Amino acid sequence: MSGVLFHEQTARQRIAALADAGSFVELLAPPERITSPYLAQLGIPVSFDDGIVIGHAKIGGKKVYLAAQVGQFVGGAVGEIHGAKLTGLFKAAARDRVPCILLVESGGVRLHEGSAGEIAIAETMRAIFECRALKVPTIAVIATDIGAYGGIGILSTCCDHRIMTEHGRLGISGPIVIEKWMGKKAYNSADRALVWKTSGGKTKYLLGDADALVHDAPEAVRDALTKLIGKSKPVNLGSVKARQKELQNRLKRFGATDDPNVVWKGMGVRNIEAASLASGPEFAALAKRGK
Amino acid sequence: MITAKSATRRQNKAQRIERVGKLARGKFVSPDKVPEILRRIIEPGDILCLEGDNQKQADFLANQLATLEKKDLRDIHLVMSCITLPAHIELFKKGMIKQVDFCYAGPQGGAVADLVKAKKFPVGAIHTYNELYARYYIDLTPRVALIAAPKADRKGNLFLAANTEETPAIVEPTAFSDGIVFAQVNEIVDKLPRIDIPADQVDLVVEAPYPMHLQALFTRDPAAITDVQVLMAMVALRGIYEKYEVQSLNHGVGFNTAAIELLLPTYGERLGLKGKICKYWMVNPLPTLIPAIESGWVESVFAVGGEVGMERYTAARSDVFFTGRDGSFHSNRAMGQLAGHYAIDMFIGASLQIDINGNSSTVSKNRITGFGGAPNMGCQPTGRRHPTKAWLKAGAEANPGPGSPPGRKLVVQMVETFQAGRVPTFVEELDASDPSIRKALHGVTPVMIYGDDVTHIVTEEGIANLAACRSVAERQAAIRAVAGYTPVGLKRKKRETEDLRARGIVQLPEDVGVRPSEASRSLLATQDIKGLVRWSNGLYDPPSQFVDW
Repeated sequence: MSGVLFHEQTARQRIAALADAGSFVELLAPPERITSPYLAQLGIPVSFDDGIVIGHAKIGGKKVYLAAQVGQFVGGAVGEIHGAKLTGLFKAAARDRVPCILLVESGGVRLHEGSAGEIAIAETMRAIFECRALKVPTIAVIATDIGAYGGIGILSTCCDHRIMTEHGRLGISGPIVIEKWMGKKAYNSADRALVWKTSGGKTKYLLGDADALVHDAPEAVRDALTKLIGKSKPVNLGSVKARQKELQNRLKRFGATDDPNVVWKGMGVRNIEAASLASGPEFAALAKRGK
Repeated sequence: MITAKSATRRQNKAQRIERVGKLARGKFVSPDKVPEILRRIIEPGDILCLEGDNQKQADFLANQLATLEKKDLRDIHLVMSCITLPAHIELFKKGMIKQVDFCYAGPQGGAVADLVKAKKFPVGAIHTYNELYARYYIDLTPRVALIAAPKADRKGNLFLAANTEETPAIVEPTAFSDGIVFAQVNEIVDKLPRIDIPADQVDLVVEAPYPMHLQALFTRDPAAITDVQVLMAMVALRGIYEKYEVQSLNHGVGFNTAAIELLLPTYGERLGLKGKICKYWMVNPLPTLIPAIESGWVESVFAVGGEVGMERYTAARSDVFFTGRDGSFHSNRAMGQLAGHYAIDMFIGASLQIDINGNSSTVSKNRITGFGGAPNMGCQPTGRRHPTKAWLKAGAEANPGPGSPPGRKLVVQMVETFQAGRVPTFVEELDASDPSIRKALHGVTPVMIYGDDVTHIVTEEGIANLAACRSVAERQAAIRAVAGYTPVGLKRKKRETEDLRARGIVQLPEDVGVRPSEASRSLLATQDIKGLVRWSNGLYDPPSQFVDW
């Protein structure tokens, strides 16, 4: 019951744990000191990596491009430099036909440099779809409490695959934003169980938004990556229409409920209490997903 | 033989009850009548006891009391262990209180400091729990006590469930001195699971419109334990628990000691300490103790109070916890404090501030909190006579003189050198010694644990064995040696530190066989609340603020 937890690791520890020993080569590494010009102007401390580590490595002997966001720095938010590194990495993946993995930990665009961040997200989405058109696999790993929100939430869902843990959260608007607009009665952001049951990895897995649900351990994430690294999913008119239909169905089935347990039950979870405590594959085993 | 005085006191009680008259049906009153009844049963000059410690609160009765005005209620001598609720503060603001004797004012510490500044807080003294309970039998015997219980039956017997806490310590002196005991209960039932307070010690009962407030006080989320706290826990385990073979103990409420609890089944097991240490506990049912209990480390746990969410687990582990015939958990604050005073090898806890002589306090000019129970356990019980290995070993180290006891209780302060916000823990002089505080407390500095009682201070820098120091100067040097980069620590002299280290009075982590690089959260038996639920086989029901699943 103990060991190293993926969600507690730093970005660089995560990369070290996932990549083959000594294989990671960081691009635009901290010694190059490429930092945000905007934060400096505002008198806010900068980070020498601008909150994201990018580079290439081998996983199980296979070359990958790899990015890891640094949640400790402005919540992993995307600024101009951060965004440019992300865009460049996916462009390089498309150019070199090398799978690209993003270890997500970001609430979205950095407010201090909003326009630059938004543009970077859009450009990265374009680069991801370039990859997908070329059948170069793209994978988002969403496994931290900060999760994937805002532009990064959208970007994550553009990838071929999403690997999640029960700690990971995926959405567009964060819980506090939803509460602010819809009211505490509609969504209480302090109700942690509600938040995780609506946007957490388990629910996302049940609904098919996550392709794999794994234990909160670097080895488990690595295993899942190894399985998905060579697989791409086609994206075309047919796949988009099918997805749209799926979402319409989801709205029809669950749109009226405000109890996430109804969704769980609807998606085949019989014993809610046991499933709440279970993690990774044990949870998956307790649920007959997408029934 | 009935003396004139006791007759008077008894008659006085009868008069008060008579004044209630038809507002009550037998012992039972309806909630809307409570303010009027309180007005009729409390007389000016009364010693009034409000139940409420750091966990359960007679909050309905306190709130009703606070609706009265000074014309209804004045010259009250308030005695209570914890000033916790806004309603308590209201009584002072309305000028009803002529004197207050209490123990602790945690959540209202700021409000109490404001009252002191406004000269609206006429304090007799700040006590430790057992000290105040003891005075209930001597010179602070309540005329009226307002108490709380989960259930009453139709005769007025009370069931206290997991949170017996201080109810008996209030009821007994009140009931046996012709005082009035008025209980708020969550519900009135035909049959109680067990009887904790007999009906003939209870005068009035109200079914409150909302359940009594119960604070989850001892729940520490393992996710918030830091690597530094793990390091300190490892140092404490090797340098104190293992060294003295500490078998019986109390843990304070904090992340430092939670780290120790969670290291027992992992690091402790690796050191081969299972069965040698930490067998008998005087501690509330700490959720972080679950892994150690499930791993067979713990023989027994007695508690001063319950803990929200631990009801099913404690009932299932009645081989370890004290439980009633009904199978549910039992606590008792006065008896627990007594056990913690006399019957344990070690008390270990944290503090906000420690001065150069080892005195600690949590009081400052802007926050007057007080003591609670820590000093009842964090002190040397010179009335103790029974030996244990740890007691004798610590006693021998302290070099007893011809007129002192052969043993010592281990009293350990475990603190990081800095608090949150880079506030140094170690200071030359306590904030509590501020003249305005001393004046309000009749010349007494509110010290939580006196330096003379402390045997060890553990920080992330190492251990200072204060008991082994031979002079005041040496003790100060030992404290500076483990005070890190605080102003107190920066004044240490290298040669003094080296001399103390050579004599084993100061020990760095490596001196007790701990490699700081090894200290990591991954050593904990579990790193989150959910893990505790799993360890408990689903029997622990954490409060909702800790649940994210």
